[in-house]
Amino acid sequence: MVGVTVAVAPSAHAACAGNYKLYFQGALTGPYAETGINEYNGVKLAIKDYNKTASTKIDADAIDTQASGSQSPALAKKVVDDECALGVIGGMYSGETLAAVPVYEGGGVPVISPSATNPALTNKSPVFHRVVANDLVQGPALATISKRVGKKIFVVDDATPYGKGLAKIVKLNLSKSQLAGTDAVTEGTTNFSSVVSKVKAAKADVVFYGGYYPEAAIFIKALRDNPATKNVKFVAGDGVLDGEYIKLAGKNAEGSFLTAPGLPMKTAAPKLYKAYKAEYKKEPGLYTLESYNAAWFFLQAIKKGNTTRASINKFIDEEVIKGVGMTMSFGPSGDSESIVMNEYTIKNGQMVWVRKL
Amino acid sequence: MGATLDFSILVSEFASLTFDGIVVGAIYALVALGYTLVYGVLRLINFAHSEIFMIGTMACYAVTLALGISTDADPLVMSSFVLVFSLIIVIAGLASGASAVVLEFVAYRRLRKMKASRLSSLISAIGASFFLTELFRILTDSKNIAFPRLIDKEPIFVISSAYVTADKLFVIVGAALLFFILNRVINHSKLGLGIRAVSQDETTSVLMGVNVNRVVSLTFLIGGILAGAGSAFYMVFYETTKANVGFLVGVSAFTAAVLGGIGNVRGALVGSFALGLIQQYSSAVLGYNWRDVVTFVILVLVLLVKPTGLLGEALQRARV
Repeated sequence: MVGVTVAVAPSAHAACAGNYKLYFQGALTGPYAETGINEYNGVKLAIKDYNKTASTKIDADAIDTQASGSQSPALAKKVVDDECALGVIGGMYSGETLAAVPVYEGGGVPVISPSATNPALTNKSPVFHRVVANDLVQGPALATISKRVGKKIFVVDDATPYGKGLAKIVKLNLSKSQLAGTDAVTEGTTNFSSVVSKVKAAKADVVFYGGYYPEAAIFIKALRDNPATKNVKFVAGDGVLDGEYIKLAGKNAEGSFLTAPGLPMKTAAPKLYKAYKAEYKKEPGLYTLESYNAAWFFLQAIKKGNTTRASINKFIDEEVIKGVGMTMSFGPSGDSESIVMNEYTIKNGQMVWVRKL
Repeated sequence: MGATLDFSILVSEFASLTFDGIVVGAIYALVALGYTLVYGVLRLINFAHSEIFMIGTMACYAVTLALGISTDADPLVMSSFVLVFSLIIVIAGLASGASAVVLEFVAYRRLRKMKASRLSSLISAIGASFFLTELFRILTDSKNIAFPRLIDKEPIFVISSAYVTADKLFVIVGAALLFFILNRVINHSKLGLGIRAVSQDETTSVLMGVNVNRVVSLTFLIGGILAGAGSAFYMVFYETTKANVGFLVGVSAFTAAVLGGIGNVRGALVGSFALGLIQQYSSAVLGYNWRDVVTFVILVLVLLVKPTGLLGEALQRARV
């Protein structure tokens, strides 16, 4: 099967001259769509900016995985089979990316993820790259924050590759006396009462949650509603740092301790921030800047005359590109060579950047 | 990664786990009754019942939208809570009840008339369930919906480790009231007599002048209203919904109905409370992600020993 796709791809490019496409992989509908739409907007804006001066225009397209690893491989196959597809910006989350990368590799499609942070993606494939630091950087940073804000830390994850992976790294960075207890929930759960009882019984003063914002919003509400746990410090990674978290959790989200490798567009790239707001009439999301830059990398490759998947992948592997607000280059493992981690919090219903870690 | 057993929590948090288990069980029971009533009269598992529940949660949300209650608003004072909640439960009951009647008419009635096999009805039920879930997925963009806080959740009093809050008390008392009314309807009304007659022997009931279609419609209506009421309690307690919320609650409620003995109204109650407690205890001891493993192992064990469930089928034997 792999042989067939590889054989089809090169001959097909001829049929596509002047009509090349860059795909975005992520959730455009579903509970995780907020993050995906913000990322896709970044991709579209980069392509729009590029097309203003470019001789060969590029089109933006997307596959909507709803962030699900069970849907992403079939959709990735569509990209592989699309003669005009030169590369993929994505996937948005780790699980869907882990599932789709082997399919892209089969078709030789280069991939740059703006936001998948699971360490299992390091060295995963010669076509995979990412512009953000992985959870081997984020996990210890979260453990450090947890230890800074409290003494007994209770670790909960959502059993996804991302959440479970991040929780594991946090646990490894805590001593026995610092780890008050653990639990794992399932994605989509609404009943956190037994978890809250466990946090209470463990007398934890910090809860770390490895997971995404829909469940985190319900969890933080359940914690705040119980008099015994209402003052615990809530620490979580980039999966929770999203406008939807604030919307769903309301004032309970205030004061959460959050991290992300992503940079705030407003301070890192103020000019782009203005252009983005003018274009979409809304605030950019956490990984909008990274998505813009991931697309920018592809566009620089195309600008230099690379119009096959193989030559673009080679370009990505070798070149250093100055994007907006960040410089990008990839090591042989596919990971970013610049390592950045940021601490955020929620204040007055807004995501606020606190410091570089 | 294996489970880490922690039995000490059963002792230290026994009261809070038990109290929450009863609250969850009460919500399951309201949904489980719909499965069991329909099974009683039609010998059919109405797999779309979970979506009838979901429609109820959406109706609750729609009412708060229409009343302009935002998710940032402070909880209501008791008197206005009672008013608002009465409106919500009536609208949700009507929405779910009407949906259940329409569902019966569209998905089952014709199959019944044509004397199609039960399997066809089952497939039709699953189809209807998918249709409704996906429809609401599109309508809501499959996002999680946050429901405003209607009642203050500060504890009123404390029993051992359990914080007794108004919303939980409200769920338990409200559900108990509905069971009482249902019991009266089934055992002491003409409609109840009809339901019991049809569940015992459909052919004979027809000969005795029972309008079977009417009884079936009304059974769906009652099941739907109970699910709608359950959805109102669910929303006050959990304050969130989404297109596939019915699946999460429906699987548990259906399991509870089977555990107690499907077709048996008291069985649905016993099964629901048993399941609510099993889920709370097992997720505390083993971890939340083991909850369903434990639940289904217990279900299989009960069915191996007693295939009719804890209380067996009793509706058709007039022992409700």
